[in-house]
Amino acid sequence: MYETVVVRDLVKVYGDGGRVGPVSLTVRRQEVYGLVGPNGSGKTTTIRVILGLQKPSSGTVTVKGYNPFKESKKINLFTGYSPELPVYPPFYTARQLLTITCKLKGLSRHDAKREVDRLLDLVGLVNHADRKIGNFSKGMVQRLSVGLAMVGDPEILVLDEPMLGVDPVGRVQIRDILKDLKREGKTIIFSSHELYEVERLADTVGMLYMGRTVLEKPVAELLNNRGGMRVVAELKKPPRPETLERLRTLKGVEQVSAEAERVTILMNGYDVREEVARILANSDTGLVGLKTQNPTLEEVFIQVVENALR
Amino acid sequence: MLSAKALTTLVAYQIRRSLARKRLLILIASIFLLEIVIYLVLTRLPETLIRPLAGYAWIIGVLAPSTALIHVLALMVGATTSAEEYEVGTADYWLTRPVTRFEYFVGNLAGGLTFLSILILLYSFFAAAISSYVFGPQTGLTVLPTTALSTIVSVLVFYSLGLAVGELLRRSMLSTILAGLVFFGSFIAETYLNIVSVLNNEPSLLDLARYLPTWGAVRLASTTTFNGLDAPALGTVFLQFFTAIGQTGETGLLLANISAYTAAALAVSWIRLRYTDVTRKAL
Repeated sequence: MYETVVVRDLVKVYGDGGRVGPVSLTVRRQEVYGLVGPNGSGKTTTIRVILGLQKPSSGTVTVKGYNPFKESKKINLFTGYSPELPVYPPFYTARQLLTITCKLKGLSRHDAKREVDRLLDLVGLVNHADRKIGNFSKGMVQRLSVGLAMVGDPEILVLDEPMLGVDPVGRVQIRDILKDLKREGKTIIFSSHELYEVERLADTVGMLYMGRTVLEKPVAELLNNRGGMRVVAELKKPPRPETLERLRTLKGVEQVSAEAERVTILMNGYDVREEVARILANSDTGLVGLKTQNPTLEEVFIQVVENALR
Repeated sequence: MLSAKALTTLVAYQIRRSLARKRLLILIASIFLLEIVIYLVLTRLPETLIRPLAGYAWIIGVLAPSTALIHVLALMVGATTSAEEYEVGTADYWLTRPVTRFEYFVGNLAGGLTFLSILILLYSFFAAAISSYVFGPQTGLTVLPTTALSTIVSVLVFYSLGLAVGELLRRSMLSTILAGLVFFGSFIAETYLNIVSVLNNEPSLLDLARYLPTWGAVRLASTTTFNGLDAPALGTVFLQFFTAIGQTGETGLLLANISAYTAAALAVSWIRLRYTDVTRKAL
């Protein structure tokens, strides 16, 4: 697949000594790319460099072959961006700002009017279209921001924490918009703290930790990987400490946790289901059932971070 | 090539933004208040003093703000035009649309200057109208467009200085204070040099004052005005003040002073914007 955004060994050093990088990631055409990581991991810096707002200290960044810092206007013609904690001129109404954005994107007056109405409807701001942005709630500004990013039907969408500050109804709306855009074949890069959202929407996930890329993989591959799979055993009565200790000593067991009549065993690259079943069946706990669960993205992330820290 | 769409949009945006700022509105209101107070005071003066001045009363109203107030407003507009964009985060919006950094720079620059120009034209017209109403038909009003244009040119110094400091610091309040310090510092230094020059009979100190940023900015409008007027008008008590500042016949030097400071400040602003990151305080 065609590589749309390519970041290679990006390093950004700030004046105060702060540093992000090396970050490397590849976003392919029509791919939904989830950028995850804790606060200060470099997600926003990476996004701002991709958009040409910041200049990399070293490394290369290209968007459809263009250098973002030198050719940002060309990139912005086919890219839509919604920043983290967006701020817009408070004296404009939502309709005015959308119209201005349409004008800058080169839409005719007639097309702009149609586009503004479409986007207001899409982001659920029809009833607030003529209110000043300064009077908007955080969630409404976020919705407007997503609408502004979509002006002119851009090929690439870059959304930095699009769900931040949005109420549950708004989240569902934004999630549905992203799903529709994914179906339409848009290339989407979005960052989020909500790993559940990333798991549901992204094709590929890039994990940043302490300013550098620690993992980049397709979400499906990441979650189906045997490493990180969990075995959940339902018992008749709580297990004894020595039973748990025997489980912990098994090769390939990452973690064992017990809660009342349930034991959860996190596997690390080995299939230990048979051994687990045998130990529990031979103990006096009484094994009722055994099931396996794929890890969530959150668990994978924690695992990756723990490995990075070792 | 510059996009007309981007430029007109940014100019309109900067005018709207300036009008939305309370600090600027207070300063604008004080300019018009100054006009009213000036004419109110003139009507209270003895008629023998006013009679020779009556036909030229418009000059006082038009030139009074250009001695200080309009420059303070210009540096405030300049400092906030650039700094507030980064401070608030709206620079992100503009620079992630199809707008080049140069278009953004030129658009913002033109926007703030258009706002100041409209204001100068408004208060100049207001001064001409109020003086005609209070003192009857005015003489030499043909010079008014030149005076207004000179005032617009003269505000370039502190407008671009404010813009440069705002772009460098990216903090609006700090930039306004710093640009204000440059203005008042230069004003005080010039006054000091003038006094010492007279007391010590040292004309070289006056030459030194010519290198200060206020020298061109404060004098240009009065110089061009009195160059375009008949001599009798210059003899009145009130207009002496402006002729003293004016030092007629030095328009070329005044323009050179204004051009040098404006060009240097704009170059600093552009270099900072062109080659550095778009910062945002909130992040």
